Amino acid sequence: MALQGEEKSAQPAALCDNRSERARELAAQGKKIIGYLCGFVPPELITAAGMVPYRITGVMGEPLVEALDYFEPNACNYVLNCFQQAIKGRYDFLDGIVIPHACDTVQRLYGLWKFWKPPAYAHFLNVPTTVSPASIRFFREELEMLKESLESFGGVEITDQRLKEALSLHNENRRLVAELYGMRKEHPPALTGGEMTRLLVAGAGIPADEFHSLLKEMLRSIGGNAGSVDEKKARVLLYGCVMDDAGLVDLIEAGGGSVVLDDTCIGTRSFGTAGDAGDDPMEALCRMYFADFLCPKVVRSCDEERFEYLVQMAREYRVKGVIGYFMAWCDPHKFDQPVLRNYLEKAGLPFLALEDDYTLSSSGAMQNRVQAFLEMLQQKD
Amino acid sequence: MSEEKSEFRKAVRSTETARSVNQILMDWYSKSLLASKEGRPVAWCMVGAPPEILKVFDLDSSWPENYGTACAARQMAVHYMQLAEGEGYSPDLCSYERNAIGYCREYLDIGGIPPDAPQGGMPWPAMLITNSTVCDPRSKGFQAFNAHYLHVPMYTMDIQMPHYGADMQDPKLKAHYLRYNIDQIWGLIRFLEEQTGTKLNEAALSEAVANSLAAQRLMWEVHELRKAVPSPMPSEDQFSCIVPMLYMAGSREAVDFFQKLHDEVRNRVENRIGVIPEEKYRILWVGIPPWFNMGIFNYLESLGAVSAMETTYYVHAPVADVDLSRPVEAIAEIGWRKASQVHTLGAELSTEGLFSPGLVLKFVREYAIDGVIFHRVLSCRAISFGQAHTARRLREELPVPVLFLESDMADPRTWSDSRIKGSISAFLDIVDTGAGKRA
Ligand code: SF4
Ligand code: SF4
Repeated sequence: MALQGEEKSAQPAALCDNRSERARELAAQGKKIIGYLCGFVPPELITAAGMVPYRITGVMGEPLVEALDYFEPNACNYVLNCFQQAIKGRYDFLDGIVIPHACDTVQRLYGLWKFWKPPAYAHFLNVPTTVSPASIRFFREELEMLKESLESFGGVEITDQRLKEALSLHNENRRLVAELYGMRKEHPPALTGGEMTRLLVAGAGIPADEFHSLLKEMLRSIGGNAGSVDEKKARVLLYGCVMDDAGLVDLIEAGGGSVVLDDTCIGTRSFGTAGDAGDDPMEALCRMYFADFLCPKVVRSCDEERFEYLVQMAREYRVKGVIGYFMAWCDPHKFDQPVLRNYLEKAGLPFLALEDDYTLSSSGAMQNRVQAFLEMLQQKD
Repeated sequence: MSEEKSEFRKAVRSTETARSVNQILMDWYSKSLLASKEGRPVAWCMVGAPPEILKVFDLDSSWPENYGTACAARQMAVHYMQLAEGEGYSPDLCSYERNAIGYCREYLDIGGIPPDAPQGGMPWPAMLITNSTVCDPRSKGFQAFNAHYLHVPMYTMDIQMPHYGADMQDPKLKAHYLRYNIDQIWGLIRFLEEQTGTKLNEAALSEAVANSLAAQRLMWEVHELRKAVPSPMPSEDQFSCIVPMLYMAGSREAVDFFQKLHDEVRNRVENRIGVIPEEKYRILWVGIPPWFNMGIFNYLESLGAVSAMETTYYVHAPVADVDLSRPVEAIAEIGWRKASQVHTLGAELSTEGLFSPGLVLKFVREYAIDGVIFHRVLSCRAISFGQAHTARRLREELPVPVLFLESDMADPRTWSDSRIKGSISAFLDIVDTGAGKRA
């Protein structure tokens, strides 16, 4: 695939809009493509098995029709939407799926997908609910089982060497992503939140080495240039679960904000931790994808200080406020919401909670609320 | 949300034993209130925490989930839920948890148990014990109200099971799961030893597990007796019996209760005493009931329809030959065997097997079911998910009329009498003329 130096954001945007194209091309060439969902599944294992990890996403805004024949309507519409894509045959290019025991809804998605749209390969990765030495060992054994099943499906042995290579390739991408994030600490930031989101979404649908070239290209095109973002824009952090579409980020940025940081599944939650493979690459994966992976599904502690990492991140990026994106019917995030709000507000970080059904269909009303929030932030100091 | 004023009714139970649950429940709440008054610790627990272990530690407990049903039945849940919603907890969230959150809010506001709290209220807990079985809200809800109001020590017992399709006979898989689950149960024991300052009495735990198995066997036999026509015991009675089954497991009282129930139901079967004089239709109820309007079951009966069986809270076939001398391992082993039964039945969607189409198909056949009612409770994803899938599977394998009723387990604001009754009446017309009608 040619990744020539074009305008800074053109390639990722095109790849993001047409994100399955490359995977389809590779599938046509005989590559095995494995779809996965959520941040608990290490794409490194898929890469090490010589297959292409492809992050399953929905088509934001598409009305839910077909999915409702199989799935209850009081379910996360993002997950329903992903399933609808499968039912419509849009994921037929996948050779297999790996779905973790993330929230209740994602867990059910595995069974539904396997039953009604059985792929050649389907694997369920169980995830503990608390973090302890025993649960880390349990997760490690789960990863070992995933590794074995990928080996037998792919007909390859995932040797330590292969795994280390995959880890170092993915880690290198993490490092480059971190570099790009770092460029948004400046004011004005070197790239917009929309550009960053498109880049990450694009990267989640192509092989790790191609993502590597894309990141390099992005860094090269930015060079030492100062950001083009309007200085007066209020710097915000976007908090939420899935963010596989740049629509909301664009809406915030069009309304006078600048999303310089996120705490979302496709953003810092997945790219924030890097594992030195050391002698034990499985141990590194365990840490990155479970012990240090801050998904609210895992109950770590009951004190509100568990949100301190967000405050720290916000300070580092000189963020003025936090916008939370909550999916309707989402238990893990919605139970956290009031405590999170209290904690952030106590730390002097105003918090705006937006609720959506993965359509942004109330974007008019949302825009008004976002704008009012941003104006308030701008007046803050 | 309903515009009209709904009429909420308590159910009139059919069996004498189920009717006695009211008193059992009152005594049970009084006991933990007394413990708290006397300065002894009370734990708030979530179903899935083994009551056998609590019993051995002589720990009094309150169960916010059960309290949710009690508040719903006494039409107090909306009050508490509104308080929780005022704090920012979304109406999407489990209504039992919202009820508990609102209760905490009011408790703190007035500095003690609210005077109009149903069953005398839940005493402020010294600790929380929750778990990860079945759903996210039971761990996330407890985390939320602990972080928000309670700030007490909490233990989350994380019990994991494989997803359907796994080979439950694979010794490696079993060892992987049991090692973890046993660790988690020991974790609870260590937590309780620390909180109560007493050591585990393993012999007492073995006895409690034996009691628990005995009660479950009796309950299962009652389930079997309920295959009789006319139905000797309806779902509303079974829903009362979850009190001794879920919260008093391990006690001698629970065994005695189920023995009494068993005797009564057997006597009814032998004498062909049905729930109603003329049983026209037999219904299978899928889902949690609407605790604020259990009278809906009597309404069905007034139309000649008895809810003869239900999927929720089903006790699977008894497990025998478990080595009770190592009670912790036994608890884990029993859990594994139950999960294996569910896998065998075909719980295609979940690790918990709550919505096993296989179970629904089995019940439709074995209980001579004429129609299935799926109660889709909006604020509980865990028990609702899989209903649409199961209905599709039924359509393919065993055509039987199906009705979806949408409301909630504890939030009456989702209920509309005219809508629900209209749906039931149209459904029974289909049941009457349709394929499922018994000769
Ligand atoms: S938004 Fe919530 S319900 Fe949906 S996938 Fe994420 S955690 Fe699960
Ligand atoms: S299973 Fe459903 S009703 Fe029970 S605690 Fe979980 S969400 Fe609430």
